[in-house]
Amino acid sequence: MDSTLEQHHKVGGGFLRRLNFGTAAVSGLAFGFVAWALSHHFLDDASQGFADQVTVLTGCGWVVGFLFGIGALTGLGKWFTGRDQSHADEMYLAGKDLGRKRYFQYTTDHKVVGVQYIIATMVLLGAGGILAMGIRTNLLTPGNHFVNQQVYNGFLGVHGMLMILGLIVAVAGPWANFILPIQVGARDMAFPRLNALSLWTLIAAIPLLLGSLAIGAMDMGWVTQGPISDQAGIGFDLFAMSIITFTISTTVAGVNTICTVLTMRTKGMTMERLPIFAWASIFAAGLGLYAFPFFLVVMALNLADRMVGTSFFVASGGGTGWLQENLFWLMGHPEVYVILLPAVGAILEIASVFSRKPLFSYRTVIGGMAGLCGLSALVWAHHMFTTGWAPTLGGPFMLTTELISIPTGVIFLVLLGTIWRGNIWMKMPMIWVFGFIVNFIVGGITGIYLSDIPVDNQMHGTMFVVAHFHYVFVGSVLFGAIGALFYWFPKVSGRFIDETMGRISFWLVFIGTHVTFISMFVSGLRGMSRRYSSYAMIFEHTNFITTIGAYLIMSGMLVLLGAVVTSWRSGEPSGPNPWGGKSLEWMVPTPVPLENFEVLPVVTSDPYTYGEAKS
Amino acid sequence: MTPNDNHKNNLRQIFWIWLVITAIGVAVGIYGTPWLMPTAASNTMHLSILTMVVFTVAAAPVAALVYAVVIVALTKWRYRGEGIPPDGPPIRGNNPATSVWLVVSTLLTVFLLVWGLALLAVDNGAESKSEMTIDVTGQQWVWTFGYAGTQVHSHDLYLPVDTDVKFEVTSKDVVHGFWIVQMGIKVNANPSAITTTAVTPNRLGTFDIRCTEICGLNHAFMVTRVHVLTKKNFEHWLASQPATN
Amino acid sequence: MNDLKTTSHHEAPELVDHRQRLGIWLFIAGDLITTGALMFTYLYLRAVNTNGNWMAITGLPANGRSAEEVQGVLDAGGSMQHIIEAPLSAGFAWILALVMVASAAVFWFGESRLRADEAGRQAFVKFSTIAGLAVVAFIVLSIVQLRQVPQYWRVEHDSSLWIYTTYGSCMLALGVSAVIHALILAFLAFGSATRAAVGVITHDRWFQVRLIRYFWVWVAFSTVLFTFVVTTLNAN
Repeated sequence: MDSTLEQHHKVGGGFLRRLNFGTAAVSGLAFGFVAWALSHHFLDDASQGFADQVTVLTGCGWVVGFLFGIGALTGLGKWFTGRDQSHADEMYLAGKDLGRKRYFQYTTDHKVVGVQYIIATMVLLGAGGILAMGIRTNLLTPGNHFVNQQVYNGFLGVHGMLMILGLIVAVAGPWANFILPIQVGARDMAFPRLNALSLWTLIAAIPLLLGSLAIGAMDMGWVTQGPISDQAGIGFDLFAMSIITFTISTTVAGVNTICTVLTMRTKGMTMERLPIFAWASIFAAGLGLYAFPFFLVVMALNLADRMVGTSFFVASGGGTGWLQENLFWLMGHPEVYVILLPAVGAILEIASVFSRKPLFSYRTVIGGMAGLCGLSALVWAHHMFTTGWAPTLGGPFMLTTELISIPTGVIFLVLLGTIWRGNIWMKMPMIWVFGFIVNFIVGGITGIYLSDIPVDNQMHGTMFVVAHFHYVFVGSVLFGAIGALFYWFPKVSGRFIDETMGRISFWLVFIGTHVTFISMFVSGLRGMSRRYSSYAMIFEHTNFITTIGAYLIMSGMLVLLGAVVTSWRSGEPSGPNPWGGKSLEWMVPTPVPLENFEVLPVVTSDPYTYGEAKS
Repeated sequence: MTPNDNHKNNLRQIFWIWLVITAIGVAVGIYGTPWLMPTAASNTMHLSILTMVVFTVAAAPVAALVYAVVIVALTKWRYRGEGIPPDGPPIRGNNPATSVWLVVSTLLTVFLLVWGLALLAVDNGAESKSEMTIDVTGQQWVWTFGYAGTQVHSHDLYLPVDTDVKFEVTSKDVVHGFWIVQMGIKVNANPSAITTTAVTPNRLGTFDIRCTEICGLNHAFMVTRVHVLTKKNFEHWLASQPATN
Repeated sequence: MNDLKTTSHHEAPELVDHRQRLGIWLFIAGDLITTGALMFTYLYLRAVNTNGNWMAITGLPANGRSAEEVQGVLDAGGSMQHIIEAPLSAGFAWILALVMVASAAVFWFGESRLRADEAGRQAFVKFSTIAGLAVVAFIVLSIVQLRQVPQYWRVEHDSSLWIYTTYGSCMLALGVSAVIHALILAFLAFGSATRAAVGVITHDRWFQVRLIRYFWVWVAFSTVLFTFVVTTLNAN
């Protein structure tokens, strides 16, 4: 019998050593094929839901197979039979001494998972970006000269969903994984194996979403309203499966984030000494935990209507589209704050470091974020003002929506207060912060217009709304995500992202954002509906300009991609703390050792002690 | 320069920049907004445009303040040396500033809310007094209008000017969005349900109706027109239409 | 010597348990929202009762028949009728709820025996297995109930289709949700029994059992709540 000492030195992992992204993909395809064949054979092919049943089961097969093939399910098997992981197994899973291989495997080290999330984000945003260019190119002139309207309508929904998923994980995925545990003084996340699970589940969901575009267009936008969702081809079933898979991923990740911050803080790290990014992360995670179950339910009900003929959203059986809209927006509004808050957290960190000043009014901003989260659960029907549902509730929802501008304003107060009279260090991270500020005001104010019901009666469903939320998603969240990338990239790789290419990409994206979305506001003000594959001649000029702007953004993002790729290998070396930051991630070496800290630190203050006497 | 002078300088510079940007914003609000929006063909639309103007004017000082601080930060407070800048003043909060900010933002919010609720009451009042009712039916991908009390149906909408019109809207298949662009009214058409909206057209002419909820392949082409005629011409038009079912 | 640990290395079991307990409560909170969304769906559809189709429909009963059979009935001159549904058996629903509550009670009892003394481990193996079997019975009975949900065949415009009333749709959704939760519980029950038999769960290492019990009690509670709602608020 081995002694523990010998076990300690054995290489662990078992057959997990042979599993990686490739085996996962093959296994996913294999299970998917088997599921397809079995369901094709055994299900009643005269039933109207047959094609949907087969597609859903195939999608399930893919997900189960993929997770099986990456080794995510071995933990369950081992638990069930009472053979838990040995220490050697744990070290193997954490990627000890595995080199680059560990990025392609089920690795529990939060730093590896963080880098994997960067790749996943790039895939999601890149694919969404390609579809955006398809949409805008088609709208360069009226008349569907680029793609036909079926294809165009299909692009819309998948573009939206790819971008939404990409933005949900853009800041939280890489940085709440890589940086957050170090920031709170922990050696890893609370549940390292669940961390890897949340990443690989997300990756399993991506081909389903891309596949939905390939096998059957769905022309109902990303909101997939019932009852029109019943009319979609089988692409919808893969779309819904990808979302259901995603909600599992994000729920697991959310639980992990909250538990990490609440239970793994090092000695002396009270809640009031936490970096604001940690607070933002737990607020976002908690809000997501509230919101995403609605997504799961609404997609499942949609699938049920299609697969077995239930009547949740079908009026002829007693159902109603209003149910779908309510469930969807109960998720959909909090979800935008799930997207926004991590970016805001990163922005605040950067603002503090690059102004060399403490965060202005720490408690106030936490109160603001809490208020934002609380109110966000109460505003959902402002997306439904024109649906004709419950007109008497219009006033109350207008109230709650207008109230949200107060905590949003608090965020501006704290941002501006942090910058106030600071020594503004205009390196790349800070440049994106200023871009965020300029854009977020526009996004926020135009949201207030929409919160007013009479104005919404004019603007709902027009390009005005599209421009509003793109100012928030692109102009604010994306800017925050890119700022976070420039900020923390040196910690991950030990190199700076090239400053010159960074500036070029910034100006292209910044100018492109304004060109694109201001002209889009004008299109909307003049009366152009959204999700239109073609448009009346009076909208020709503004659409032309919008498309030019989109190409500017695309150029900027490509320059950014080039900068990141080249800087990874040959960027200027940065050292462990190039920005003079005070939070714990800057106190550890680069590259960060496997267990983050030699000795867990004892913390005596928050990381915002700029200008204060050292104790 | 004493810290107090420096402080006053900051406030003064920000004030002037703020003033200029606010002036620009107010001008854009008052002149730009109505210019960009469609001609109002109803009081509802006129009030919507007015709201856009008022909100823009109210928002201008807020945005101006943010942009003024940004401009001063990028010019006056910018660190132009080498290496990591020295620490700035350890300002961890400022209770007067925070309080003023919260109070002003609350007052602004209350103002916007009161304005919105008042306008909502006006619009809802319009719905209760109606002189004629139009049945609007949306289906993929065409609008059909029925004129209550007659057997007439049309695919272009005809309305008499200065008449309180109520719309009862439904759909035969999926959810559509019924929007009369220049009149500022919009409500969804739901299958097996009737939703209502109302308007009083106050301008003669031809205006646009567009669908605003994606309803399938030809959503972009589910558009039609509304012709606002004098009351007499409308009566003539209605009488000349064949009865259809 | 059994060196296998159920906790992370270097850390005290109490610390890990504290973390895992927060995790399970958060997960239960998410499940609560999911359950709430289903409850909202049920109550909303019942209140709205579009076209009067909450528990009534025009069609042909089609349970257990294939598409061709039903089409044959129609072709032979049968016509669709307006059918008013009766709610599913309340008694059966309560038996289901009872089985679920009993399984939770058995598992909890097993946990208390495990924590009481060294001999409790064997008792726990037994009780965990019994609780698992009770859950399996729950799954079987749920499937029986699911198959009783009335399904109809209906011709409209020029297409024909299977359809459920909204009441039937909700009962399907709730039933499927119940089965999914029960499958998870069965896995946890039999896994715990195995782990206790093998010696990974012992009188000194019982924290995970408590976590499972938390989840189990929640599922039992929500089952009772749902059963109450669907047996009292159905026909309107």
